[in-house]
Amino acid sequence: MSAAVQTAALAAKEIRVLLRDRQALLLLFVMPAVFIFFLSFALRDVFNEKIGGTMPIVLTVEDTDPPAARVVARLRARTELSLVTPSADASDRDRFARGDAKAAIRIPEGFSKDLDAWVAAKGREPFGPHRIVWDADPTLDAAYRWFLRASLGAAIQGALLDGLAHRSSADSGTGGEVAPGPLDTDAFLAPVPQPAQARIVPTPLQQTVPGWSLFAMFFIVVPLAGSFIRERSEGTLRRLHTYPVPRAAIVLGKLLPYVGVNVLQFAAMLAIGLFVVPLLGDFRLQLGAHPLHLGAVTLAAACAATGFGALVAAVSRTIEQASALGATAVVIMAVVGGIMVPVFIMPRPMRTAALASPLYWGHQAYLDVMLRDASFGALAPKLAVLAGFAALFFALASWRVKRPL
Amino acid sequence: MTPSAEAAGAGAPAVPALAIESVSFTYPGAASPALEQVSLEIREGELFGLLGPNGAGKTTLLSIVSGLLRPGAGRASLFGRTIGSKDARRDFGLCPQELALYPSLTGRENLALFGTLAGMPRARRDERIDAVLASVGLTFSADRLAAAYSGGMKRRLNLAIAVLHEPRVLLLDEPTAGVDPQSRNLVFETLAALRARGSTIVYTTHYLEEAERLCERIAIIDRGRVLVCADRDELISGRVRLEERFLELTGREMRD
Repeated sequence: MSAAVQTAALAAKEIRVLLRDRQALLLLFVMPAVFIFFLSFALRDVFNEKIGGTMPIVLTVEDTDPPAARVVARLRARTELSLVTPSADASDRDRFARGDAKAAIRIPEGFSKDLDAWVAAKGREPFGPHRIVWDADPTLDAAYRWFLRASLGAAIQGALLDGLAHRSSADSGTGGEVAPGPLDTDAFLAPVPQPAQARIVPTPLQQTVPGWSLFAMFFIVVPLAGSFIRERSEGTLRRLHTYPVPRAAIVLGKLLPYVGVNVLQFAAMLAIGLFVVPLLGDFRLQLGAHPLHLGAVTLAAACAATGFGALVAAVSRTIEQASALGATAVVIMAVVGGIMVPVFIMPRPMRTAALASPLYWGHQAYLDVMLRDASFGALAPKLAVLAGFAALFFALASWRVKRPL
Repeated sequence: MTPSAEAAGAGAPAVPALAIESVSFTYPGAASPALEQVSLEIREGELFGLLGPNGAGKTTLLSIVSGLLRPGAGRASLFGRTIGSKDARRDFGLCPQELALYPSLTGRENLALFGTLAGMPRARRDERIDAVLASVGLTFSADRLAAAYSGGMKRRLNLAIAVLHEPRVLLLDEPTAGVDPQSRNLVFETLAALRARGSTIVYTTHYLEEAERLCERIAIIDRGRVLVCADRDELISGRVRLEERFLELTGREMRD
């Protein structure tokens, strides 16, 4: 009898046991669906109007003349914007592409000359052609986009005023006035056009579907750890070890069904996000250019989740301990990992703490696929981190089980 | 006649079904050993009683015999093969003291799972499932969840799982603890059938009258040592019953 048949028999047993546990099924499938429904609706307006925290932005300045420097100075004066000037280091340049920075601004060479020419023409000629280029991450909601555009407009206005003040003191009060009437600062800006698919303004649904799916996937620690502990305390695990079954088959027979459950959970939440919630309001969920990559993220996250379940089982003596510890730990990891509040509006220490949560990496990987059209290569580092979490959890669980009491 | 008995018939000494040679074991952090130089030899086809008060070392010895613990010193073997090896496990069946079954599975599903793990071909497994369900009186409850079984039914299912794959050596750890007289009688009938088939049985119990009635040879262990290992008739010669002999050897003070 092959180990594969034995593993399949153990996995079938685990699935039967799980299917007969209605509370576990409610926890794993109904809870996240309810969260997605209610939070998508509840946060629809709040999400779009919320302004706060700092927005990390990559600023590239190719123009070193004074007018451009004045715009930069005005931008730097805004405490809401956290500007990063890319160094020669590629990692800085790639911050926007990775989603670490929420926007990118480039002041092209020639901007200062064009601005001087526009002032000299008293604003009667169109500005250009070297306009400030700006691009926003697809996850940035409408309010933040508006805020970014307004900040750029204000910086240009301020730079113009600074320039006039400088000129009037140099020219002893003569001249330089700009044409009367409202100043349209959009004329100085060149937003990067986005592909049609990515032009959708992210809705709360876009955040809640991957976020709460991950939350639910990690909640398998409760039934998984419970199953481990029940087998340990009821003696069935000891009994299994008396049969000619490899230990790996026993462990895989226990874990593989839960990996399958994770895949089903994500598929179910995705279906709800794609087909059910949009029936009830103006919600849209986009999957990105490479939707199959969602499968890779789901498998990596499932490995981390089952590893965490094994660790919780290893450190808990009773099912009650495992339930309390597992549920609390998952909620904390979800809060820290940006499932409930977007990471980029958190204070800097919290943003750093988010890196310690596997849910953060899973969430970011899902958003990379859905909103940033991430290629597999671009996704690989986040998948590697999730795999690393899985390896760490399994290693700790194994060490704890082998350690003498 | 079993293969080893045939070999023995040729003049060679019979290979014992279960041989425990100078086995010692100390739990990590424990001050004294749980087992100290324990040696026992159980012959093929016999029903062997392993008795001892609480804390005597029975459970540790059973764990070593089951392959769940490795002896710190010495060797345990099943028909000459080191216990813990895949071949040895195939010939071994354990009916643990605790009800080691899955309450969320039906009786039949429990049996099917353990039959598959024992390596039984599907057709043979299903045939045996029907047979053991009938022998332990669970045919009509086979498709109910084990969680809904009474204590006695669970105890019988526990035994059915152990005998399903027809192991050559069966270890029964207090199989009649807490069961009603009817279920106990059914356990005895099952043991008789196994004996008739030539199975070797190691039986532990606190009911000394059961051991006296069923076992051909008996070992009494205490504080990790074998105090006596002899034929039943040697132990209970004359008017001395097994219980008196047991108390004489292990003392009358209470054990935890």
